[in-house]
Amino acid sequence: MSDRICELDLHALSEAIVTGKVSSVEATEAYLRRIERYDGVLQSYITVMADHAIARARAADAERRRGERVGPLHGVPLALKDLIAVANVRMTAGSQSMADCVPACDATVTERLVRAGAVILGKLSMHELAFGQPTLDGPFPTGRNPWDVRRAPNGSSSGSGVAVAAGLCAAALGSDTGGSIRGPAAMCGIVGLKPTYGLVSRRGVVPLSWSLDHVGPMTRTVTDTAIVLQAIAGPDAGDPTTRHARTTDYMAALENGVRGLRLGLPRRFYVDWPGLHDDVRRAALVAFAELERQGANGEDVDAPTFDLAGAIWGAFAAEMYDVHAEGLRDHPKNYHELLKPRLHMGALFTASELVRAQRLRARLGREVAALLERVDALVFPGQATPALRFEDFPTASLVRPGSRYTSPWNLLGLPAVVVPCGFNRDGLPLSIQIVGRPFDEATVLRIARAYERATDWHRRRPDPAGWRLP
Amino acid sequence: MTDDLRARFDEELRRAGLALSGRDDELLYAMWVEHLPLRDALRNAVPAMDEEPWA
Repeated sequence: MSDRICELDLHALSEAIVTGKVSSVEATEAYLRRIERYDGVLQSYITVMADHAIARARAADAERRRGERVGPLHGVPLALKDLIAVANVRMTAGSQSMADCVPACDATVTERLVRAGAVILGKLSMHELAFGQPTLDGPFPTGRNPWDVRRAPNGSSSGSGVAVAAGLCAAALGSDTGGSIRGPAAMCGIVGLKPTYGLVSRRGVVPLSWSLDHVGPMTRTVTDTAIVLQAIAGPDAGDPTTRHARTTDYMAALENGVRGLRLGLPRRFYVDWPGLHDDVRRAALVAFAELERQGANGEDVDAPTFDLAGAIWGAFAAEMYDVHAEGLRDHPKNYHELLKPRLHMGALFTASELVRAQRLRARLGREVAALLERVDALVFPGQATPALRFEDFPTASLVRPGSRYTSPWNLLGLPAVVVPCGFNRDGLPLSIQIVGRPFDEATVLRIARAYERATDWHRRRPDPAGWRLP
Repeated sequence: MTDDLRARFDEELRRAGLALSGRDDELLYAMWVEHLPLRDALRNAVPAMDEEPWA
């Protein structure tokens, strides 16, 4: 029974709790047992909040017995990337530089999840300060991929991807500055949404780059993503970038299908790129054809400034350096030797280069806005490759070549979701990505759901028999 | 050529007020060299005068 609870997606678990088939305490204890059993290998949690979670689950069950339902996440155990504040719980951001940080207040997204009824199970592992490398040792290991524990789950929201895929929480939140939600979601075979910039508050979330950071859901299904997004989206006086946030009912159109929608495939930049792994290319094109089969009208699209996206994104390392300049200067030993050069690079860009990057960012935005007048969304491969072995993870780049699949959408702040689109012969998950207009998460999720319901990729689970140290 | 690059790197470090040594210097130099083509692409891309950051 215990493992069966952990295999339910969030929506199914929520229904089971509402109808009394499963109590929140049973669900919470089931997850805690599974974490105890498997997370020594998977390393997805930095802090397990067992007592806190059980207390909250008991309260949720008592509320249900009184006929009260707090919200759509009532009694559902979720977990947070360890850069999202929970009051009085250590928040490390995966870094020695924050090893003693205990925030006094919840982040806005934490408050909103709790207000919707969620039980917070714990804080999830991540790449150091959302910009470091995958690592298996040290005080903050970043997690193993549950589909093959010899491989990295990608990052930086690595623990969020691992915990959701392995059934160690019902859903998680991650953050995404250049692909940190979508990368691990793709590598772990789950759904990951980077919402529109300004839709989800970042108050109480450790920053990396103010103009590129986003917070969003990582879940097993598209429906679950819609449910979590509904709980966390909307204006927040504590984060001025959300003042123009426009929300809608993300479930309302989810099952409406794609008939008549116009979908753009950036073939030159994304499909024809020589660095794209053949397995990903093949699966993504089959997925695109499936959406056309369902009645979407596909066409090839392009934007000349796509080619400069990596160069533009790189210049914003200046923002990342500015966040950490004092820490690097005063406590350099608190930063991993492979993270330091990525941060220090941000000190070397000139003001002229940063302005040039801003101007080109605006140009790219105009080009893509014009594309999104012709088509309703863009569809393309979610990542360049399937999950890499730890030893193959690139170390020397500020801008990794494969980041072309994700970082342009941070520059433009557009909603971008990855959804599983198959497995390769090694049993590794593959994914497609769907990008839409600002604040049009409803359409992005509707397309993702149309694809998802025609397939069974989201129902597959990694086999715990493989969760042994190599 | 390598000496020229190294001199340019050192000048950028000086201008940024960074004083690194040993492994930190070595790793940053390698990353800086690796990133130069993208940086050149950024510098060589000339937006039209009406392409403003807030447009």
